[in-house]
Amino acid sequence: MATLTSKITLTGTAADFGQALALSLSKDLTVEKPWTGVSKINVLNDDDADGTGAANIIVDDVDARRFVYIKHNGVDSAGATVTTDLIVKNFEGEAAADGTQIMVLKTGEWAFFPYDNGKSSGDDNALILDTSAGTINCDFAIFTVAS
Amino acid sequence: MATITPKLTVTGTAADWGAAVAISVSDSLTCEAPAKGLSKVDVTTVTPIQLVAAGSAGTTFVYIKNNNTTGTGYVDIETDGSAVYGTLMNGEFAWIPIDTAVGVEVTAVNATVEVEYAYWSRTA
Repeated sequence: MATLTSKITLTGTAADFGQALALSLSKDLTVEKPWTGVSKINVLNDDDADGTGAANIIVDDVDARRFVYIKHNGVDSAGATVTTDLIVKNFEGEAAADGTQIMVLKTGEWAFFPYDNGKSSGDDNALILDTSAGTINCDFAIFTVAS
Repeated sequence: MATITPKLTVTGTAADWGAAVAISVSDSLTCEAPAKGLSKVDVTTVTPIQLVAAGSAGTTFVYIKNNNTTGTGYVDIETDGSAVYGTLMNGEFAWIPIDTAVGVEVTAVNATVEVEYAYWSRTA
């Protein structure tokens, strides 16, 4: 068991929002194995969870609740700047189909969210990345939350 | 148009993790209407609450927090079509750049949950 402290702040000006936006909160998460520290992946442009698309799987066995961090690094596999979209998909047993596109990130954007689609009985129940075109280099980390 | 600055830090000690965990990331997002400021709603186990309706392509940045501090209630995060992909326990939060085409809704499990949320649409 390990403790992970997650903290988010959201800020914006009164000029933009009518009143200043100033949210700050933190939450300690009790985490257990398996976890994956901050890692890098070159995401391929592939719709599916099988074939070459299998390389885009970041959570491949949805057997426990996990917190997921993802960031679009704004470059491709060769380090060249890209402006294409990083797509996050939830697969629920449809390896040869397209899954459900649930998030879209542009350059520099990030997500931090709990993931568990409740469908642990098949190996194609997975969280998978995709791109709108070409490759995109991104950071990710996966933390299994103790039940 | 408006600018919102989200920042995330995730930390853990070397004693727990072998090496210290220290994720720190921020961004500056240009947003426009539709947007919803910090809001609270009681979510029951009966009827999902639609936070962002499924619509056209694009991204809506969504902040969601299970505002309960005790009890067994938790909240499922799902598409506007009720496909669940995440669960928030007491005090947990999420920052999700959702695909506006599928939207997002929440449903409580076990007991009513107070949910704090806000969203902003990315400027196209």
